[in-house]
Amino acid sequence: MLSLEGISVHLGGKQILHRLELAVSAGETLALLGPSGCGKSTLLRAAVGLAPLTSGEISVGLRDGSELSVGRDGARAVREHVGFVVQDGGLFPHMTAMTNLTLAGRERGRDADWCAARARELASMTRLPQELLARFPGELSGGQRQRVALARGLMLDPGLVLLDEPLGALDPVTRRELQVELRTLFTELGKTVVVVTHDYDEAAYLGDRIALMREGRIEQVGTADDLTDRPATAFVERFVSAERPVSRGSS
Amino acid sequence: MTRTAFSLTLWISALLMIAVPVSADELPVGSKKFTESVILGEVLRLSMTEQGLEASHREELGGTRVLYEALRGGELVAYPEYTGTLLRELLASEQLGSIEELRAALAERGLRMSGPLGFNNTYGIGVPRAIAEERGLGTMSDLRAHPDLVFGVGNEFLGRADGWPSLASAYRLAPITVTGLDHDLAYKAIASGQIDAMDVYTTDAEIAALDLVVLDDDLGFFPRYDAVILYRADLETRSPAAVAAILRLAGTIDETTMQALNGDVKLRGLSETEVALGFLQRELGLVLEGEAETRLAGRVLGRTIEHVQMVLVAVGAAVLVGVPLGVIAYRVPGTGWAVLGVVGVMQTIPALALLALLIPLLGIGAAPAVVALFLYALLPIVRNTQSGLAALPTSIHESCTVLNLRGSTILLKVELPLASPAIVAGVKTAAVISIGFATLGALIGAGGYGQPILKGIRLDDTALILEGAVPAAGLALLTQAVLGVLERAVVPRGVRAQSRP
Repeated sequence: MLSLEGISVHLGGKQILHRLELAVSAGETLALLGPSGCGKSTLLRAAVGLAPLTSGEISVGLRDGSELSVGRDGARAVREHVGFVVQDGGLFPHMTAMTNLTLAGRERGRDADWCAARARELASMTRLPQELLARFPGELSGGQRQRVALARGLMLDPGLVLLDEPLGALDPVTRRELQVELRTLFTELGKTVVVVTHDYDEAAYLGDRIALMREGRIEQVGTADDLTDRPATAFVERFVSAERPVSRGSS
Repeated sequence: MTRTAFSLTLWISALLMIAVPVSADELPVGSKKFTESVILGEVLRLSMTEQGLEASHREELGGTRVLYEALRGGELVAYPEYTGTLLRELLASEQLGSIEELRAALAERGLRMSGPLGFNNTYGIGVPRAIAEERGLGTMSDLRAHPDLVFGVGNEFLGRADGWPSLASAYRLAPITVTGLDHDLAYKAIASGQIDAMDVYTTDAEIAALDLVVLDDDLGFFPRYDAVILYRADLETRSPAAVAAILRLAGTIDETTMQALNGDVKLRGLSETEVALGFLQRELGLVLEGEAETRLAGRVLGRTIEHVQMVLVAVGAAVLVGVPLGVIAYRVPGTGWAVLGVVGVMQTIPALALLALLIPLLGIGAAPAVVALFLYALLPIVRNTQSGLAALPTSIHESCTVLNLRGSTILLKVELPLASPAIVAGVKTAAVISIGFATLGALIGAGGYGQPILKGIRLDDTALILEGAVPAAGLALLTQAVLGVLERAVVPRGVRAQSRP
């Protein structure tokens, strides 16, 4: 569904990603984990052309079996099939939640009724009270804003959803609540998801698999159990043991 | 946004139509920005009016060059000038030796000169009588031995070819302190002892009033400055009556008369119109009806209309040009420094220099003033548009990218609305700056609040200065308030809600 082959990214003369290889299969949720500055956000951003590749190729598989790649087809074509939620949500503060949701659809020639109906559908899917759709982002709580941002990413029903630290700025209670909802949602929708986080608990809870990154390289890809029980490197062991491990079955 | 731009365009077009000059057969005469010239301008206008002609007077235009160019360009039909100024300043490069040669040179340029009006208003150096007696000063050569005397020199005299630089070298004067200042302010400065010597016009009423001694020009440096009326040659065919009204003034005003007329205005507080009227009735036996003085409210209203028109048209055009320029500076890589550089350099051109550059192209009146204001209004608008757009958070730009929005949607629906608080702030700055700058428009005959300020400075009349300064300040405050309302209309609600603490 999403495959990265030998990708490198340089920003400001510095190499951020070192010939990374990673494959995410259809319907899987992959958590991209690592300390700040390890390049996990850059990796996600490179997939939609927000960070330019210096080498390698990124391909996105479509539902019909065909494949688009950033290098060959251009980031713009790839983005049409990807729902991307930027770090702090990136909602347009001068538009209501409803307009934020419908803008991209309207621009693609979808009619207003379809867009509004889809927005209401996504609001209930993300458990955002319908009446809040009339509000501006500044009038919503942090958790409500994240729900709108997520719904905006899902608006055109992309096969692949990329979330850059979606729960980063939330208080612990809201964060926990949204973690539960995100996992339910990903499972229900059967979408391929890559979610960036620096929190091992969150990664273990949300991700079918975890890719742990360090200084622009992937240290290990595997299930939470793989990482705790069979750490590939000393760094993986240190990183995992620094967090309180959570069993996925117990929540 | 588009609707606002549309209605703005309508407004500007409407205003431009109002601003179009009045009837074509009006005869505009001009005067320089000192009292004697304004009196002569009024004499000229009233002399034409008495002939049944429709004449107007563009008072106190800023500088000889402005008037001369306006006359050649046809914006004026006549104005009072001095032979010395023509020979040594305006036509200095021709090296003309006699009045006959001067007439011939003027004729080549489509201009005519009346016979001398009857007085010689040359330059002189005036010194308070007490200082002259204490230092034993009688001639200008005597000044050489007293370099400690503080000279105050009129700004125009300081710069002109026949002015201070050649005077100082002819007499080998090297005073330690030479200050350039306005001619009328120099009289205040010499009265209060801040300066010891100044250039005077020999018909100035203040010479007697302040008891100044005019030092003898023992080297014969200053040429004769015989007052004449300069007029366009085509007036002879266009309006022979106007030419007659000009020529009958020759030989009617001697030096004593001119000093008295100047004194009537500057020291006794009569209006130039009253003084000119009295002179024409007394000396030429002309029968003229006194004109009703416009009342204060009427005067202020008239100037307000002139002032507001200038500012509205200039700032309106600056918005229409400046916002797109700001967008280009932000959007097109590498153009930012160029656009801001060019617009910034315009801001550094002194207002008077800019006006002087525009007069050959646009003549005098509102047009060059509006263009100058427009150029000055560009910088705050362009810069605020560019920086307002550049300051938008990265997450907004990224959202636009990942949603695959079209460039036009990004600009019109996201970036400009979000940058609108900065853009409106730039427009506010531009408007308030323009209201202040527009007072300079009076120097080139654009009217407005600058007119009474200029006149007030010339006549040392505080009430008159306030008549221009107070409404200008009021207009600036009102503009802030009006633009505050506009801000509520233009800036989207979500942005306003968020900007509150």
